[in-house]
Amino acid sequence: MSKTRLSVITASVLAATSIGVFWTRWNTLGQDIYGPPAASTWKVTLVVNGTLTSRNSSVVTVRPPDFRHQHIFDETYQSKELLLPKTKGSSRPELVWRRPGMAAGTQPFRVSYSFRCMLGMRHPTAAMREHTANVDAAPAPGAALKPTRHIESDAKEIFAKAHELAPETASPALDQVQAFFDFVQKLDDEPAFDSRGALECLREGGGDAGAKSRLLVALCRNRGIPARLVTGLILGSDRGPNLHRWAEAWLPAYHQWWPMCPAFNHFGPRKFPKNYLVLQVGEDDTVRAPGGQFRYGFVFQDLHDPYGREEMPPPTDLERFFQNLSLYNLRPSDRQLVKFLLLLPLSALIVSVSRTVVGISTFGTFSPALLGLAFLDPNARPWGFGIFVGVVLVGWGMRHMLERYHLLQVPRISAMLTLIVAFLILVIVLANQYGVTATNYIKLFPLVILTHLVERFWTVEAEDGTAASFKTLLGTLAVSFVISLALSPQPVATWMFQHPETLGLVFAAQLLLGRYTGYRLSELYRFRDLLHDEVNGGGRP
Amino acid sequence: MSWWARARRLRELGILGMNRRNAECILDLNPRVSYPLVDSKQKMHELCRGIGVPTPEIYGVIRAHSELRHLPRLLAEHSDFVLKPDRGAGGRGILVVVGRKGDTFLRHTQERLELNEIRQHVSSIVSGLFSLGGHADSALIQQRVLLHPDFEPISYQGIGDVRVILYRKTPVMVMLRLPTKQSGGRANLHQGGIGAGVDLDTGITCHAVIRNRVSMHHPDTGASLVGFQIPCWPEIIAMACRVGQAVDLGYLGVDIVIDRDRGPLLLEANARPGLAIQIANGKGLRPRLERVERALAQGPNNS
Repeated sequence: MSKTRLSVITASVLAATSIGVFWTRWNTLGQDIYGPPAASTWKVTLVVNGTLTSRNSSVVTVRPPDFRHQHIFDETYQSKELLLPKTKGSSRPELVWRRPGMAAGTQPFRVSYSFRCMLGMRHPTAAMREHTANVDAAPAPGAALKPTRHIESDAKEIFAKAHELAPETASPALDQVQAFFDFVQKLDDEPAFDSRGALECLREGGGDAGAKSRLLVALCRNRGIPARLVTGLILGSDRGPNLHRWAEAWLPAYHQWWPMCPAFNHFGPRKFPKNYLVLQVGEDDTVRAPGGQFRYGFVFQDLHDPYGREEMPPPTDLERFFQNLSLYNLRPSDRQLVKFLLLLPLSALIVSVSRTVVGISTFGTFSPALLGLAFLDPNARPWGFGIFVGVVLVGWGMRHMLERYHLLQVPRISAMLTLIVAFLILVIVLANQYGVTATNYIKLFPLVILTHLVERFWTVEAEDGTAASFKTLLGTLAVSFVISLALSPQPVATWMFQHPETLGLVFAAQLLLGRYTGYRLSELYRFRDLLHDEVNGGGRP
Repeated sequence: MSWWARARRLRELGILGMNRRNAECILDLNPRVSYPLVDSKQKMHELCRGIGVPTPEIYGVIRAHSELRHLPRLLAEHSDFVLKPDRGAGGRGILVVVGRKGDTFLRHTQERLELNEIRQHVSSIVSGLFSLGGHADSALIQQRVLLHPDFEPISYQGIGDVRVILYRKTPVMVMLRLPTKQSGGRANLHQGGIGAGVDLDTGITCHAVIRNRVSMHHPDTGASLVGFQIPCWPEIIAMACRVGQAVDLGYLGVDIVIDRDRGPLLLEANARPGLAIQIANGKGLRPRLERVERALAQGPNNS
């Protein structure tokens, strides 16, 4: 069998397998490919509008924890004006959006952060369980007991009220908490201004959900019961997408943080509603912008009818198989890594097309592939490419310098790496002087590639001349630019993540390309003289 | 002409493209194990001696820094020679010495070198400075090929060579490569050397290009590049065939130089010969490759 036929057959089998897996999964799970089933699925969007005034100001937005029975996935981040450098991949509880570049003066901005979430998930993933264990661990001695600005648990009036409500300090914590809750729950409900602290709520005899929850926390803390404030959304409620606050108290007897919502009279975990989405555990503001003004709001959208699902039969083995296979079971940082990994083969495919079909010369296969992925963020693209070209050119200059020493290859490359690292640090320090956080642009920067690229640049220059090396550099840039453009839309990464079987198709395409014997586009130019020549070229030799 | 029409025209002319060369000629016909043989000039030299194909004499080989002390002894009897890396590519690291007075050597560029500088150069070669993989290399001290008088009008500061492409052991296309001022005396098409297409049967040049563009006259000497008869033609083709028989490579480039005194000498072989030979000849390779395939398919029936 000819090699070409073998490749074509293998490619067809692979493609058919991938499509088969895709089709089976689609028929088994339908739209529900996000992992184990849950009571409800939602899409929540946070939009912040505002103006930043000082150069170093930033906007901090809340990020819901992926824990307990709430599963957070498909997070998307959008802002034309601000950059989101570090937080994406990690499981940090906040997102920090920063101003790019050296711009001074006021900067209007708009930030949109959205995610999907499943509430009431029956079988949390391992990552969720781990996160829950961290957040819901027993408080360290002395933690969650101190008074804060709005929770004045050490005030005389709070002390007096706590004593009045639960005179027996030796009684079980649950009884005391229940007494406090009953008292707070019965206070007047007032519209949300959300500025009242615990003490004010007690004095005024009423307040909104936040004020009442703070009072409840203050009463508990006054009695030495660790308690904390929880901020979130009640998804699907008639109140609309307004922030809601409730409280949790640590009950050692149950070894549990005991949820309590004084505003809507929910006490204890058993009857606590399943549509409370936790955005944040603690007292921090949901959105902060030191040195700026802003307004923000949430929107939520029901993706899944919770009642329809209740009647559904338990999952079949096939369903459970695909659910367990879903990459959405991974923890957020792993998900980010897997998303990146899944884009690599696609990006290498684009490089193969550019090289074998178009005939663009590049420095190796992986350099443009990785470079393209390093510049996926459109905001970072111009700066990133600028820094990249700068480093290659400076590195090339350094390489010329090193050539005088006639160093052996391996020590020479390590010397180059040292020089490039020194140069990059210089760039970062200088940029810092001008108020630019360079790491916004070169955090992912593959240093190894840069050193390798400089070496390749040099080799091509030595073999084929300076013009050829610059042409290759340009080709590398062009291909990586195409990759960053083609792969930056969120749907591409999402598709690959939901349907990793697409890799089979990518592999099939790569196999076919591997036996592509047609002309490269560049050859149509290279052999241009032959096109006209044959006419007056005469007979065969 | 539209891109599509261009592609069709190239196909009609039978031009071999890079992808097809890589897939169907190199990957399918050239086993990787045979590469080291042709990549090493020294191994080729030994092979040629075994099969009776003349090559430039090797006066000595320096494989390690410790052997550098033999250098004066190896050079003692020679007033002209060429120093080259065993696995060099693209003419890098080649030092041509045309004369000497004691320990002072004269390069073909008229530059003077002391023995120390020669030693430094050999040391660089051994360190792998010119082998692009960066691997340690050996330095060859080789007989200098002298310009054949026939080539004088069409050479500039160097020696041309004949590149023969063998497809499944049959010569299919030939090109004569000549140095120019622009190529710095090297017969290298990349650097602006001349590529002249040669008629396989007669050894007469019929077409010539510089940097992929047609050129009928030598840019430096003004001599015509078309109609030049390569000397010793039948011997050159016979040599190429003999090398082709001895090497297990289905797509092979063989480089032959013609020495004033010794006649044609095999210089080196190449397992990945380029496609510019088609431009130099103004002809495509594919019809010729197919003819060889057909002949091979019919061969057993005829005999």
